[in-house]
Amino acid sequence: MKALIVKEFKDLMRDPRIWIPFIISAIILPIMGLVISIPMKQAVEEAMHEYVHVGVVVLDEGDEAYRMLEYFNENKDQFKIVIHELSIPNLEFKPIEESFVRRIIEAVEENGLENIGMVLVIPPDFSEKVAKKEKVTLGIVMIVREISFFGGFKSYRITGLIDRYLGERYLEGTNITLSLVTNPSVSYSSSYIASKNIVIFGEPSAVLTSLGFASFFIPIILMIVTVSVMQMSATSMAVENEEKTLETLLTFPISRTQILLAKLLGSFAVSVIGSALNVAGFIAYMQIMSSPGTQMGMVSMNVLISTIDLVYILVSMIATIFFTATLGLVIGALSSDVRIAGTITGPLSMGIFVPGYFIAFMDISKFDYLTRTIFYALPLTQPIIMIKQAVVSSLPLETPIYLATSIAISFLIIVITARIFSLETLSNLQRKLMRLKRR
Amino acid sequence: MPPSLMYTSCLFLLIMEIFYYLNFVLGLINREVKSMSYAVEVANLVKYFGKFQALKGISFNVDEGEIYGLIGPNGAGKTTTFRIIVGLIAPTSGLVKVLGRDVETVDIDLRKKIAYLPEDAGTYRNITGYEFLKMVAEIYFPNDKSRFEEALELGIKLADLGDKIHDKMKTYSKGMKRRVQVARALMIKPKLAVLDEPTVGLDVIFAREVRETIKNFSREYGTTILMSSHNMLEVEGVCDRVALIDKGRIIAEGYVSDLLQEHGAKNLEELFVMLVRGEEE
Repeated sequence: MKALIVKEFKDLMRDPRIWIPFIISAIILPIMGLVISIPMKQAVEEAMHEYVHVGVVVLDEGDEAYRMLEYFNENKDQFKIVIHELSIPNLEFKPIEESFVRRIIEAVEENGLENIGMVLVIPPDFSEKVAKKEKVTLGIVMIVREISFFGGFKSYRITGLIDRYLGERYLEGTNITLSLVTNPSVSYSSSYIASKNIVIFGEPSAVLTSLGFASFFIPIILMIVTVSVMQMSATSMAVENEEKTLETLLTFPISRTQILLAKLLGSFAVSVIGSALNVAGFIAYMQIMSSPGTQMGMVSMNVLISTIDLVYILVSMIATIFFTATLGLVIGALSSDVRIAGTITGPLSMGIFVPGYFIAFMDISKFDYLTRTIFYALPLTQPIIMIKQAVVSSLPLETPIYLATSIAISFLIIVITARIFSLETLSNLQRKLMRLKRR
Repeated sequence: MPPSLMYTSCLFLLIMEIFYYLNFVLGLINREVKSMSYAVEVANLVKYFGKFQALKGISFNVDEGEIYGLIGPNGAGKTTTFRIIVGLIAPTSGLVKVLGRDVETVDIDLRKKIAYLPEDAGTYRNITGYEFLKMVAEIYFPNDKSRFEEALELGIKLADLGDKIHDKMKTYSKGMKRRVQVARALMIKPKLAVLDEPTVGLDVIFAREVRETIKNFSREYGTTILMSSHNMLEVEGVCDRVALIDKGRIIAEGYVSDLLQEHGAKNLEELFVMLVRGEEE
């Protein structure tokens, strides 16, 4: 059997049709992440560090606007801002009318200020409102010269500076600082997980992120792995039919169960490598997409789930992967070529995870005992329900029995397949499948 | 002539005569003895695929160490017969014994003694010829290093591909692939090798080389060869006995020379046409 496993592994590993999709899927996700994050980071970088040229139209009847501009000019290197004053005679402050915007644009063009990205219009009552410490209304016209998802950062910087100036201005004469007003409290958070009687220090959001990761991302990763294992085993079996090597294989002095197991283990080993690449790509994507500012701390999994439960979950996931590999093998055996195998595994690989996702979104405490037992015993639903249960509480005492049932189901399929795994039965089933496909 | 010389001559002729008859009788006995130990025994074999009757009660026996040819056109039932003999498909009815064992009970031990070369046997694209032969040797002799090495060496010799044996089989020509397959079937020195159209698709030179390999191998190792071909002329030079099969029935069987003599045909092809036409009339 070892010779067959080695053959299987080599034949698959050397086939570009097998490893190219793995490499592509491992690279494509980080590339997607980079394509999105590079312009985003660039836009943030620009907004934070590049000089922004701002046109300013002062309609203010007092001197508060000039005081503010003076403040900006004095700190222009700190704020990275360059003020270009514009004079537009008889401009009425109507910031939500198109004629208002068009007059400003005309003025920008007449003055040849092509580097201006936005124009700030300070209204006539600016000084009056500042004196009364009231909320002021400003007009901002963005000049969009290129389309970017992140072009809005520059306007945030300007409005942020104005808010900061006005905030400090309003707090003049008091002993209150602006940072006190904007961040009046500091929290030291901790979370108590009632079902597990444990206390976790840190942001409550970190706990929630970990719970979310366990409930949704682990099933996604499991799906990536199982789909690729299923496709791999289906392909490896269908290739035997397509390349007419199965007939020879069946006359070798080895049992049919051994042939199936060798195929299963050979394709499993290749899929594990491929899946590792896929998962690495997925993790790289997640890393790239989560910018340092938004990344939330994660609570270690074994704080939330006990070691024994983690072992059970791991065994369950391996059992599920074996189950889908077995399904793939059956599909491959019944397919006269790789194309047919692919046609069947494609939609099936999506369909088989519907029950798992149903459980991921359902409140499992509402299931009756029988339903819960069935979900615990079936390979496709078992790891999902286990993760959910282990996160909120701990796994039931019957877990080893459920695991044994799930593994037994996979072996039962192998035994049944070995029984039908004869040239005659396969040819008959293939013919029936082809007739069904033609209809 | 002196009487002593005459008597001596008569005695010599008498001895020669006795020797000749003894040889003839021994030959007959030998044939009789051989028939008692068949490598393959097929009697009234019937096979249905759904409603289609592929084999209509065929019977033939193959002696141990013999090269036996099952010849007939495409679709005559050769491959079905072979698949039943090697245990790939089950017969609908009839008796099939291989190396003295009922074919229904073909197990791993018996499979070790039988090699089967399917007509359209494919090769693993990304495996080298050497790796493929090594895998086969490992499967047949997992715990016997010397027999494993012997088989691998013989396989490489039979394939006769030189350095190309280390190239991936997807780079091989059809002829090279077939040579690897023939080598794979024979390298384990089986008691019975069932070769379905071993020279199919090969050019004249390759086909001749494969035929020679089969013939020499059977002589050297005493392997029983049961082979098929739709090319009736090539079989004449290889097989001891043949069975002509058409539409699931055997229409003639025996030694090639006897059959040709009996029907007054120049070759097997002519004989086949004569027999088929005769049946149609």
